Amino acid sequence: MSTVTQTETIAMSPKPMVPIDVEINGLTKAYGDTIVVDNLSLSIAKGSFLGLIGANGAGKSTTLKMLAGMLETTRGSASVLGTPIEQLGPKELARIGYVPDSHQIYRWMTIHEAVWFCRRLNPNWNDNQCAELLKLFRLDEKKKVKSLSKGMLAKLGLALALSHEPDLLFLDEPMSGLDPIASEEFLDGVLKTVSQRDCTVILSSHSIDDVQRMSDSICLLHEGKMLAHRQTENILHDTKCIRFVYDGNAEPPTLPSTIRSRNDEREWLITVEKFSPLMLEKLASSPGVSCVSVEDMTLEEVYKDYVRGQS
Amino acid sequence: MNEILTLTWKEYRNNIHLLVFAISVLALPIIWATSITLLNARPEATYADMLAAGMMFGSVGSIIFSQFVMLCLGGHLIAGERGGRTFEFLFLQPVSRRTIALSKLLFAFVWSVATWLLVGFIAFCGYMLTNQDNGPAFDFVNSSFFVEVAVVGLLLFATSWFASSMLNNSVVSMCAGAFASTCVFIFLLLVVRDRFEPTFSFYEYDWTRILIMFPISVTAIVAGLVRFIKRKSP
Amino acid sequence: MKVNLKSSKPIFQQIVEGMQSAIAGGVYKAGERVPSTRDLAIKLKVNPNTVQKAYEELVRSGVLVSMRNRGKFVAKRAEHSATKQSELAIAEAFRNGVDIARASGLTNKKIKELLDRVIKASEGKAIA
Repeated sequence: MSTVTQTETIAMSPKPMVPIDVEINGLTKAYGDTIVVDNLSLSIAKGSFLGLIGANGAGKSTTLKMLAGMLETTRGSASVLGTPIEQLGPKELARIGYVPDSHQIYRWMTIHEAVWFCRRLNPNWNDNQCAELLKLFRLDEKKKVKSLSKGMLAKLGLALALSHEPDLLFLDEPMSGLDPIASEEFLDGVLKTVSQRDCTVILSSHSIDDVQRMSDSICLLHEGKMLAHRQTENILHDTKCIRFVYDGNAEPPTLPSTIRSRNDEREWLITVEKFSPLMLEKLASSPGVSCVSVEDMTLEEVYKDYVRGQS
Repeated sequence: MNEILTLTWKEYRNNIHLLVFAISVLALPIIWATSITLLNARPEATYADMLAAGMMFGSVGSIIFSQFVMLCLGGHLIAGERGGRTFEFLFLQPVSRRTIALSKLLFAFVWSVATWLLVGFIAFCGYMLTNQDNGPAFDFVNSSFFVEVAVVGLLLFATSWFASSMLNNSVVSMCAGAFASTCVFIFLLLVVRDRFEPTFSFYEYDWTRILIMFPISVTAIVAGLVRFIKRKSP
Repeated sequence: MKVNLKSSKPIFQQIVEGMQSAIAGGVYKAGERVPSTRDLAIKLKVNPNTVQKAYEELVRSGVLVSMRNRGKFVAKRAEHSATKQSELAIAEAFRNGVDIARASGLTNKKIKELLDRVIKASEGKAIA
C-alpha cells in the first residue's frame, strides 16, 4: 500500500535553462548505524523558495548543515552555488546566509559589536540594509546578546544573515518557539529582502502554513527520506482524498498513485497523489462501490498522509 | 590581516574571564609583598627586605599559576567554543578555518609571552630589592628556570590545545593536556635522570630538555591545527 | 484580499481572482497603479514569485497593463473583463456546491430550490 520514495523532477520556473543553485545527489548522513539523511536528491533553481517540511529528527537541520559545509557527508554529493560542498570556502560562504534554530552568537557581544564583527569579516556587507533591518526588528544596538529574547535573537540572526547580501539563504526552523507577532515580523524581513534580490531560499519548518505561503516548491521529509518534492501550487490541486463505500468480500479496487489508504467498516478513504476525474468514473463503475466523492485536503493532511502511508 | 585582527579581538573578548583570572593570580605576589610590608611582621627587617621577600615568595606562586593558566587557555580555545556552540556562528563567517586557527594561536602567543615576561618581572623586582647581606637571593630571570618556565608552559599549552581540537569539553581537554604533559615529564625524568645530580647548576641550561619538549610541543600544536582545519563539524 | 491556505486552489490563482474581484468591486479603478509585487507579497505574506506569477496571468488576460519600470496598471475597460472573470470564478464555486449536492443524490429541482433558499437567507442577512 505504501509508496516508494517519490522523486519528481519539476521545472521550478516557466523559463527554461534556469541556473541551478543547489544540486543534491544521493546525499546521505549516518551516525554509526543511524541514518539521519537517506539518499536525498534534489535540485533547486536560482531565485526559488523551497520549503522543507518534516517532524523533529526528519533530517532537515542535518541536510542544511551539510549544505552549509558544517557537517561531513557520509555518502553522496551536493553542490551549492556551483561549488561542491566539500570545497566551500570563504568566497562561497560570503554568498550564503544561514539562520539556525537557536543562534549561538557570542553572549558577551552587544548587538553593535555583533554587527561590527560580521561587517569586518564579510566583504560585501550592506550597511543600509543592516540598519534598515535592525530598525524593522526594533533591535537596540546597545543591548547585549545575552539579554535578548528568543525572538529577538532569531531576528538578529536574520539581520546578520541578510546584511551581507546572500545569494542563498538557509533558514533552519528559525521561527520555532517564536510568538506569532515575532514570527510575522521575521517573515516580513525575509520577504522584504527576498523580493529585492534574486535570492534562493530554503526554509525548514514545522509550521506548515508558513511554508505553504512562502515556498515555490515543497519537500516532505520523514526519517531522513524524501517522501515527495512537489510544486506548492500543484500539491493541493493534485492530491485529493477519495471517499467511497465498498460493500464486497474481496479487497476494494486499488487506485494508481495511492499515498495512503484506510477504512472504517465499509467507508474507504484513499489519498491519491495525482488525482484525475477519470479515476472517479472507473471507481464508480467497479462492483460494490457506491457513494464516491472527492475531498480537498489541507497541506497538513497531505503531509500526515504521506507520513502515515509510509508505515 | 584585517580578519585576523578582528578574530583576535574576538578571542580576547571571549577569553576575558581567563585573562582577569590570570592577571589577578599573577598580581598576588605584589599584593602579598605589600601586605607583608605594611603588617611589618619582622620589626628588625627593612621595608625593602620585606617587599623583596614577599615578591620572591609570591613569584613562586605566580610561576605555578602561569603554567596552569597556559593549560586552561589551550583547553579553552577550541573546545570552549565548541561546548558553547559558538563555532556554528563563527564558521558561517566567510573566513577560512586556517585564519580562525591562526588568530587563536596569535592570541595565545601574545598572551603567553606577556605572562612569561610578567612572571619574570615580578621575580626580578624581588631579586633587585633583596639586600644581599641578608642571604643569597635567587636571580630567577638569569637562571635556566626562566627558560624552563617558557618551555614547560609551551608544552602544557600544546598538549591541551591538541586535546581541545579533538574533544568537545574544555575541562576534559585540560585534564587530557595535563595528563599528556605529565607523561612527557615522567619520560624526561627517566631519560635525563643523570642531569638532576647535585652537580646540576641553576645557571646553565640543560638543552636536552628543550630538545625533547620543544619538538613535542610544536608537533602537538601543528597536529591540533591540522585537526581543527580538517574537522568539518563545529 | 486574503489568502486561504485551506483551499485547494493554488495561491497564485487566489491572488488572480482576488485582484479581479477587487477591480470589479472598484477597489482599483482603470488607469490606477496596483501594488508592486513586493508590497503585495509582504502584505499577503506570500512568496514574491507567486505574486509575480499572478500578475503575469492578469497581464495575459488583459486586466492589468505592465509598463516598464513604472509598475502594473489597471487596463481600460478592465472592470468589464474582470467582472466577467470574476463571474467565472463564482460559477466555479457554485459548481463545487452542485457537485456535492449531486454526490448526495439530489435532483436538479432540489438543487435549484436549495440555491433559492440560500439566496434568500443571504439577502436576509444583508438586510439585517
